[in-house]
Parts: sequence; structure tokens; C-alpha cells
Amino acid sequence: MKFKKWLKKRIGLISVLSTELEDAYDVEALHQYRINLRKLHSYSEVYAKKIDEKGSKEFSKLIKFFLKPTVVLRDLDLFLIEIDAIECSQQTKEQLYKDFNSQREQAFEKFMHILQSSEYKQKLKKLKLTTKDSGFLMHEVKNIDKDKIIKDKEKEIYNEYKRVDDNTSFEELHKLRKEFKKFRYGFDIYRQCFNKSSDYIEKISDLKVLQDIFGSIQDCYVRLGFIKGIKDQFTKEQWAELEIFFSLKLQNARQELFLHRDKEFT
Amino acid sequence: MSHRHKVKIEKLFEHPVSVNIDAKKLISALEYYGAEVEMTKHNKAKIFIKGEEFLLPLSHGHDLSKDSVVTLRHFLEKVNFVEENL
Repeated sequence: MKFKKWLKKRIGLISVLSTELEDAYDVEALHQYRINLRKLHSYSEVYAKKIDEKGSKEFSKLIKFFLKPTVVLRDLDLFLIEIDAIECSQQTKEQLYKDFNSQREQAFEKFMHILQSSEYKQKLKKLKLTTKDSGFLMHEVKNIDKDKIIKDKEKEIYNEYKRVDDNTSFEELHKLRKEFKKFRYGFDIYRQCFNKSSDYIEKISDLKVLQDIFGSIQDCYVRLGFIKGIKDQFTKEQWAELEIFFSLKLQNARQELFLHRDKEFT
Repeated sequence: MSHRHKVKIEKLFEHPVSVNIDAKKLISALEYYGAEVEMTKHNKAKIFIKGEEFLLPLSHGHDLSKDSVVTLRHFLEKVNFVEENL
């Protein structure tokens, strides 16, 4: 696919999905909306940054404007589906449903309010115009060394990953997760638009495994944060079962990451 | 019919994970492509493919959890029950 077509497709999908979300909210539509925004963000951070740093910074900021209001809503949508799988009493589950359904309602209303705001509509218009008018996004990509950019990014990110150990904090892991996400989408763009070789299938498959592991760590951490926020709603016993469940899950996910890292570098 | 089933399995392999996967429809799709499925008393589905077994926890809602999607996907990859081979 030509890069110009790829970029136009992303912008088109974001526009269509935002209308769909406004008309009839759907978990899948939000998921696709976020993926397309993340792909654009990765293009800006991995490639466009090398063409026009200031321009890409502004573009990334614009993308973040669209992504930010979706974060809590997506996390709560996922959490509500997962509650049933938590190893705890039915009473605790019912309490969780009650609290988080109400939090989700608030997050949904907030998201819809933003989606319907004039600021949102203006920024969506700006996003479409930016892609139409801006040379650095649409045209100048042919002048940069995409092979070198993606290889440098790979080297940089795997060097960081190599340093991960028991002392690595959650914040550091989260930062690395975000970098891997940028790299993964940057690599997808590279394969789809700049180098259509099939040699990279194994690499993409490994990146997906790694993202799943990072995702599990992030999910456990976010959920621990969610339940800590309503700790006073639970009895001592209820709280203990929830804390043990998520702490063990978090520990297992970290262990899985270390195993993957050892496999990668030995 | 086969297209509808194929779409369900393809959805399982989407990355990042979608959580809009209806468990019952997915099980029908797996059975269509040769998997054997037994439901347990504890709201779990035992999936048998090529002599390997996987226990899929089902939620009371319709959709599979993100964890279930990821572990099931890993199992299907292990037994080579992937999109290309359907």
C-alpha cells in the first residue's frame, strides 16, 4: 500500500468511527478508533519526527487530544467483562459490578460530552486538514531513510528491554510498553508501505507476544488502582481476596516478562 | 456459513485484542472447523484440538474476557489451528 493511501485511510476511519461512536457507542468501534489513532501517533513519533520535530510534536499532541478521553472508558469496559473471572466471592463480584458500572456510566457520559463538543469537531477538522496540507506528513516521507529509522528504533528499544530486572518499577515498564507499542505500529507501517518483504513475520509475531505480556502487567496494575479507589466499600476479607488475586496475577505477568527477556537475550 | 465462522476465528487473532467476541458463536466456529467442545458444570468449555486440551472460562455475559482471548489464541497457535490453515 502506498503511504499516502495508508494515511488517508487512517484519517477516514477515525472520522467515520467518531460519527459511529456518537450515534451508537460500541466497544469494538472504540477499540478500532483507538488503534487507528495509535497508528497515526506512531507514524508521527517514529518517522515524522525525523522530518519536522516541531510539526510532529504538534501532530502527536493533536492525536493525544483524541486518545485521552478514551483511556478510562476502555479500561472500565474491559474490567467489567473481566470481573466474572476474578477468583472472589459472588458478593464481592456484585459489589464490583455495582461500583464500576456507575464509574463506567460517568466515563461514558464524559466521553460523549467531549465527542459532541465544538472543540472536538474543530480538532477533527484540523486533523483532516493537517494531512491534506502538511508536506512533512504526506510528501516528505520519501526523503527519509526509513530502513535506518526503524533499525535504530529497534536497537534502542531492545537495549532498554535488556536492562529490565526485578528492580524495574511499574512506571519504567509502562514507559517501555509505550515505546514498544510505537515501535510495533512503526514496524507495521514499514512493512505495509516501505518494505513489503515477508521476512518480518516472525518479528511481528514476537512483538505481539511481548505486547500481550506488557498488556497483562498494565491491566493488573490499572485494576489494582481501580479497586484501591473503592477499598472502603469492602470488608477486610473481601479486600484481602481481591488484593491477593491481582497481586499474584501481577507477579505472574512480571515473571512471564522476565522469561521472555531471558529467551530473547540468551 | 463458513465465511461467518471464519470471521469469528479471525477476530480472535486480531492484535491488539478485541473484547467483542461472543463465546457461543466462537465455540460454534471452532466446532465447524473440527474442534470438539464439552461444556463443564463450572461454566467452562473444554476444547479438544489435535489431541490437545484447553479449558476456556466463560463469563456470564456474552463476551470473552481479554485474558481468555489471549490464552485461547496462544493455544490455537500452539496446535497450528490458525487462520491460514482453515
